[in-house]
Amino acid sequence: MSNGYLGFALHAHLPFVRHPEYEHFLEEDWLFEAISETYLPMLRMFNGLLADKVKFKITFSISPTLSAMLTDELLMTRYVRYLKNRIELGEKELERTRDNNQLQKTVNMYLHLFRENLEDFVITYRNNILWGFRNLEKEGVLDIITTASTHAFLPVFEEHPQAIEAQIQSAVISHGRNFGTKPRGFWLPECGYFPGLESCLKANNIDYFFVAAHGILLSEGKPQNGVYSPLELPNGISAFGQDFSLTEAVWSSDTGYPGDPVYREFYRDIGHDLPMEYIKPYIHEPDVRVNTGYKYYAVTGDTDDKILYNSELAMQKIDEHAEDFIQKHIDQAAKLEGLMDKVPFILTAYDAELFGHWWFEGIPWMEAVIRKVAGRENGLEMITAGEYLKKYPKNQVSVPSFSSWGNKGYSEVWLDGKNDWIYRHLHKAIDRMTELVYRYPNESGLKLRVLNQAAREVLLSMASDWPFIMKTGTTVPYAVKRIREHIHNFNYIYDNLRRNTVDTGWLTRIERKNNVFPDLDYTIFGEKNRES
Amino acid sequence: MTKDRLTQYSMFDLYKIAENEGVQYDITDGNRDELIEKILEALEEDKTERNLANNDAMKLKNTKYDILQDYELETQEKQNYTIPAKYNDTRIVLLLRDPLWAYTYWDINDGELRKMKEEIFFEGFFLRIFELEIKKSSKEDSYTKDNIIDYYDIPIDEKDDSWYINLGKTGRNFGIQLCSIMHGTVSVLSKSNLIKSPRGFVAEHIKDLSNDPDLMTVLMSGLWDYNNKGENIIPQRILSIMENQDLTL
Repeated sequence: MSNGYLGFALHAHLPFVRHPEYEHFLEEDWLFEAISETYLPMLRMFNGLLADKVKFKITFSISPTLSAMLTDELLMTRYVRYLKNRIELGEKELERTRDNNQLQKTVNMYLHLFRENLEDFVITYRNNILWGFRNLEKEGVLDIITTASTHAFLPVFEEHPQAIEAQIQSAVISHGRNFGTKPRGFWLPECGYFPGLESCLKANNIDYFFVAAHGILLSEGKPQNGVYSPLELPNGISAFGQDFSLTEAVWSSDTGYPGDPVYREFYRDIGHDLPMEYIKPYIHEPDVRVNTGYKYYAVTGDTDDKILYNSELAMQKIDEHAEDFIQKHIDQAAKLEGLMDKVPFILTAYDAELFGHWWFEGIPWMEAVIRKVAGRENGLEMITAGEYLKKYPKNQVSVPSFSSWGNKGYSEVWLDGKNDWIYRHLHKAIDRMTELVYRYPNESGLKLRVLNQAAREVLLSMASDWPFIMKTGTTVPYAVKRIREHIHNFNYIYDNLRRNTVDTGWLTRIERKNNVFPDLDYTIFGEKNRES
Repeated sequence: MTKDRLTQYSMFDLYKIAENEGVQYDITDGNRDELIEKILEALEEDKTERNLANNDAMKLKNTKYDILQDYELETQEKQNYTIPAKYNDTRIVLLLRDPLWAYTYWDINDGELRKMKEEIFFEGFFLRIFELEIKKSSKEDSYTKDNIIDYYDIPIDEKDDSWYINLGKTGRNFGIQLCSIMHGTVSVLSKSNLIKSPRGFVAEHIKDLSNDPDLMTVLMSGLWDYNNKGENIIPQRILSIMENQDLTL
């Protein structure tokens, strides 16, 4: 008999970054780092659990832009080049650190990681790791769901339902192409919800979505079970809320597990620490220092004087933290006993890249949690949100409140003095795209290509990543340029169509560069599509 | 960014960074070391400010993009993309930011603007912010006398094109009109969409449940281990409720 259900929801996403016009492109490393440190190690961990017949269930969201990049031949070829470069660096590092046993152990650990990645990527997955996730879904351990196609923060498009519909519909289509299934669940980008959004989700056969805890707590009705069972919206779809404290136990850099002094320090990387003449072949031209993935120090504490990383100490700490996480769930379930008419669903939801990339030990920690939950009679059981709804299809009817998991809980991160200038352009582009659908409802040939690319550019401009970066201050010039690029491309198409001209050479070049969602149908931006 | 890294930049680039960071400098001075120190100071302040302005979820998300750990002066992408500053139509748009704040942006058609300014009695522009009670479902007639609960005006300059509005009340409907005034007569140039600010308090729930502490605990679920270190984690309104109701532990 379960006293509580432990629900893990992971969200894997990166914006579409692909620059065939450059031999090496800095921001493509975002993807390569995430594959190396998160996606491949996570696949190995899940497959290891499966091989050991450990029972586990996880809801796993993979964004359409990430899927598009993970199946892109150019990017995946570049990833192999990236891995080989990292292996070469590791071999060089073994030589450089030969007099330091502690460092040698750490170098070997990374070298092993990169070699294992190369083998898995090329031999096991044949350059397409989506097959790995797809297989885990077939095995019944992952429930793969989708999110808005370019990860638009939807509340800022409330007045443009055709754009929200386009984001959701193209995501569901993309999911079908990549995973061969219809997603039941939907990850709202940044958990951004506003009342009314559910109608677009329902129109695309979505059964449930996730919101921040206060989205449930401030809902219209009295949320009798708090965040421990979903709310059923009047149109029949369900909203799950996240447990604040348990999510925070993993998130918090001050009080959470990842900040423990023995864990690996993210910010000390040899790409920044070693002399230029040595590290030059492994960073970007011209002499732009970047992370290499070789990080030799432990968190240590609030000091620049870091101690060397010791993986054995870190592994011991993982066990302690996994126990603590489980105990917190047990305590929570005990507090709720007798207060609910159903078994509580304790949901913790995270960005997948937190594990492995930021919190290096996060993946073995997750494995330890899963093995401990499965291996003991502790009243906890892992299930997915979808499974919970099958057990308890009837829930309290109410509507969540406008909310997000961003700073202070609303739109402040994506609508701020540093990024608010983008919205007049994005909204205008959406209006104009809808106008184009009205003017050209049924095109073919060259005009169809033009209109589909226009729709692609609008979707790409809506990505939440660009305003987020402008607000948080990392690679701002690139984020600004990306917004400008997509708005410029869209306006160029719009103006050409008004003049009834098509710049074929330009179009072909842009189609090759921004080649996301090859089967996109521009009419998804139409008002008619929305009404249907 | 380290001092070492800054010393590798040319003076020209240092000036650019200084400008981006709002650092005051005298171009005739040419004191490189002093400029670097000032930039470092500004960057450190900026970092602190950004840290305070983000919760843990956002800080962690940021690490996905943080491969440089350095100041990105310009992107590798060299192509320049021109976009218009405005679209030459008259309209105003209202976006909800949080329960108490909204953002509005507007445009005025060049021809209309020129015409108005040529009028001898033209006095200026202002925003009229309405609190509305939506009695009918159609948005078209929302600004009728019957629906208007209250309004106030904010004068704007011709050069302004956006504004943050303090709504002052939660759980209400709001709209904005972009207006001009000529010889004492107000003309509405454009009406915005309507927004509804969410209820920012669970106070009525707390009141309902005050005799049922168990149920209240469930309502606040997941918050009971919260301690006062994380002001940025929990929406301020929930935080104040928790503190007022002594729910912090």
